[in-house]
Amino acid sequence: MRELSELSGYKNKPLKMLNNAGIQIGDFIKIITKTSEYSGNILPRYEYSNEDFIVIKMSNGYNIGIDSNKILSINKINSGEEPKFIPPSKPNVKESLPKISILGTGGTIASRIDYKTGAVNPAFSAEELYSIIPELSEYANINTELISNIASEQMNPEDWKNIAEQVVKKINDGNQGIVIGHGTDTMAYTSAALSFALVNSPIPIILTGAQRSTDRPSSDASLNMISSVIVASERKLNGVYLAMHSSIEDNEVSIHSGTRVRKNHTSRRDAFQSIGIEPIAIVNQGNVSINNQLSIKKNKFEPKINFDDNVSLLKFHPGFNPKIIEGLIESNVKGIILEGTGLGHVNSKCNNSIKKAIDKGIFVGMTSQCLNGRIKMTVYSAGRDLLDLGVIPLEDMLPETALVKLMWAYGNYKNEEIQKIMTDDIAGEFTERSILGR
Amino acid sequence: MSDNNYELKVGLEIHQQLASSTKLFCRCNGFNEGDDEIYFNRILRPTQSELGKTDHAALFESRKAKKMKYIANTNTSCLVEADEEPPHEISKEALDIALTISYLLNSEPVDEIHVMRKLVIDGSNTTGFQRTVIIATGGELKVENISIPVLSISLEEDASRIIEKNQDESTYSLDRLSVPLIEITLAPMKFKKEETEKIALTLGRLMRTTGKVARGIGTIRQDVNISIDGRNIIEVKGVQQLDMLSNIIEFENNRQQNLIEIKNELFKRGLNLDNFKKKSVDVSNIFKNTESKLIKKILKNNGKIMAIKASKFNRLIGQEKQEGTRLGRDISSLVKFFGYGGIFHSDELPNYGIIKDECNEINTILENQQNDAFILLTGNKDNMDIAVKSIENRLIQCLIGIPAETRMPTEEGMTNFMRPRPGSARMYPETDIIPVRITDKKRSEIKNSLPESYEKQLDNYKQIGLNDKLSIQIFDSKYKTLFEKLVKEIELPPNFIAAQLTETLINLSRNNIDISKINDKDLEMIFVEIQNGVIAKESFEKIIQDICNNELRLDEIIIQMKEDKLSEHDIERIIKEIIILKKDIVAERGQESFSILMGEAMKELRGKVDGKIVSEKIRELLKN
Repeated sequence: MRELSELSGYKNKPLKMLNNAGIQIGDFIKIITKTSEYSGNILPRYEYSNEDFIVIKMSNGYNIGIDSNKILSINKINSGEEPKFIPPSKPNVKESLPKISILGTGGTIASRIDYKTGAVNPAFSAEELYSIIPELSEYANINTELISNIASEQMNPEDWKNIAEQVVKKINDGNQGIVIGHGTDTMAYTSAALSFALVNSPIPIILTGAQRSTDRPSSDASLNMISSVIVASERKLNGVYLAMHSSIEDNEVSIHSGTRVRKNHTSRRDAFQSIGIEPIAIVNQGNVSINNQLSIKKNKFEPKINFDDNVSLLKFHPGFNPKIIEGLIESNVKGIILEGTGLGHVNSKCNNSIKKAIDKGIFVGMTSQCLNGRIKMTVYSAGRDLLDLGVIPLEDMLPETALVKLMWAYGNYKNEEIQKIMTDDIAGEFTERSILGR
Repeated sequence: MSDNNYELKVGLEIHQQLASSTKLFCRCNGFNEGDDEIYFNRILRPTQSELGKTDHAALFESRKAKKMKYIANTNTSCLVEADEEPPHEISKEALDIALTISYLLNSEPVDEIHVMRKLVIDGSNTTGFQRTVIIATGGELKVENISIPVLSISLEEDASRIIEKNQDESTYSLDRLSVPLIEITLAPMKFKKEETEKIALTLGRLMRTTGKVARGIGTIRQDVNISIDGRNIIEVKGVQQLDMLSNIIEFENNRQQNLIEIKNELFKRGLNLDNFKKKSVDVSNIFKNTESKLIKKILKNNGKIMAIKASKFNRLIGQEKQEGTRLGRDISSLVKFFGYGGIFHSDELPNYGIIKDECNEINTILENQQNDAFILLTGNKDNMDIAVKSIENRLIQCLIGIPAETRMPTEEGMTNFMRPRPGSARMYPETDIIPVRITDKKRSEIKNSLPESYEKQLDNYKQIGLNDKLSIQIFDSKYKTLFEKLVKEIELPPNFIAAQLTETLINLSRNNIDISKINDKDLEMIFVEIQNGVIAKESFEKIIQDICNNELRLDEIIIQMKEDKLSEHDIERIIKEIIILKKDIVAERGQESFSILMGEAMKELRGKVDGKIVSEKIRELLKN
């Protein structure tokens, strides 16, 4: 007899009971306890801390947990059926539509629910996407590829490199636009990374995701995906952008510059906001209106896709211990981005350590934890002292963007070039004018 | 009632809002006051299941591809209701109330509760699903000498309140969304229809013994599952008034009997699936020169007329033994669901300006024989396919007799089609909330603090001086809990408090005074000030009016009253003046003149001084 493995989530007593009764996940069983009688399909038990419980789905669709210590008898009535998923057939998509590649990195763009177990499984093939989001077939001939399967917070700079490599491959394959599905937690870091790595991209590269999971009818994923595919297929905007809801409504998606966007809310659909500039474009009811073209110098597309993660982002705060900087120096870090207060300040207690770092050849750049606004280190003596030490003011570059840019700079340039790279506008990370109205 | 071989079985599902201080999955209070400030639009999409198909009912809803508009106020809703934040943990208070009611029904709580998502994509939930959780199973409700088994007790979030619904947009208010509801599902039983009301009433009162269920319109709703063939269940959703229950059950019984008769007759006539092969036809041309104003208008507005063949249905679509039970009406309410006005069918034609020749032409086009019928659907040129298809399907369903449907009640005690019955393929776990264990400690804690029974509580009321009528009134009123608190804390006769909270308020409400503006806190304060002598007992009514109609604030009214309060000296002066004025009568009748003097005095002092004080003063002065 096949035995249940611990993969089913069951351990110890419940596992033994189920195995003794020859029960597999999905089987229809009957349980008699001291007080009640239950029947239903046995479900796997995921993630829950208490090991004593057995979970069944009753025929009315509800799940309940039964304490194995109260069970008098447990019997199998019927074997469960494996869910049979019949993949939908590919719709007729016009050959003349633009060829768009959708890359998956780990967040789900679309999913299917297994009502028997409650599991939510990602759906990713072009056929599945067309079937779940039929509007896509009006705009593009899509091809899909799952290039990684990692949660957003598990992403590392080497993953950015992998994504960049895959994008380059897709560009060479003749795709007219690329959409990248990404978990939202670190999506803005990835968008900054790709903005630098793929600067002067000949085609649009759009990152998008969902703040509400794709198994729910109210998910924001579909509108975000449709809008991204539209922008990717229109070729009005080349370069790297991030597309997410403009508000809590399902009508408008903002197209943010890859280097000036930030996740500013834990859960809202409109968590992503452009900082210091208006979104580059708005997609409303399928129409793209461009607000704000970035004035990036047009050069040849020469991808530089390496990142050196031996750099650090330090947030200054009252009570900040300068030994943290000393520790970084000792660990042979190559560069430090400071997130200072206000116009770009730290407590003067840090000055000695900062000087030590700069003397050792470590790049030290200043950004502001205000996020909005530009640093200006000549206004107060605290700032001037830091300038004298050799701290490089990074204007209104976002702290996270500065960190990513520094990783990219060390990954692709020589040490003596770092300062110039960090202060040149490469991918729209600086603005020249601080716009009124914000 | 014609019983034939069929047995009417009725199962009740009672939904009762709980009066917990917060909503089920966030800490908003859904009963707060507030003006709507936030508006937003959303679109819901059906999700795919692993079985390669979406839920039947959900798909049906989505065919309408509707936009949802939500309105909210920040007092009653937060990001959770807007589906912009994950749910918070389940309200412990609501869970305790549900457990209490479970034990009152001898229903055994489950060991560990798992919150589920039930797909509902008509827009009434911003998420596209309703969160619901089974709390207990088993148990029984005893109603006189009958015992009705309880199938399950669940706790779920209430849906948004529909404000407006039209063809392509629905508007909902979020205030009610996620208010905790307890759902008690009783086993379907063979009932006399009048017993159903008694059952619902008994269950309502059992829940009210907790003092923690909401009262008022819309706070309790009954769903009734009605089946006469034992297989296909009709669920009638949202019966708000108990006295409608028996009418609805009777209506459904008749309607379902009619469908069975139609089925039997169709079999006799030899109907089978092959008879449904004829495609529906656009017959607009026939009506080019029609006299029918209705049809003319439709054709003028870019419309068309579709004819659907109904083989062997002659005289069956219009067959109606009791009002409203005909198949034609069912099909009409089906297309109304898609935003159409209704249908015409051959059993009722010629009529409505449609003439015999036109009917004949349609019959010819559809190749109709003597026993065949047709249905006409009129509407906009585009997008009629889904509605036409739904009529064709409905005709096919006549082969099985009674299609399982969810229906809604009408004010006349009939029912209309609402949507197909949802399959069980629409529940999956709410992964944002971890399961909650119902510990033995919790069980004994709840068991040890169960409320007294309805009968016992009425007895208690009688003990403190309430008569039978007032006892029942206060028990059934939304002020039950407040009353019990006031009786404990305030030294006023319970009878007086109960009468004000029931009869006085009901009277005011009948006189179009919006008593919903007065809250429990205000009421409590009024009774406290009556006790303190600041407010005269007689002023209760006037103060409520001032608050509800004249928008005065209670604290200001009380300050004013304190300022206006007459000193004993003033009262004595006023009464003395009256005695002087009426000195002839006093001289003539002595103590007997009391009632005349009292009447005169109260004309001046009503609302300012307690009548008891006035009467004491008059008697005192008369003695001298």
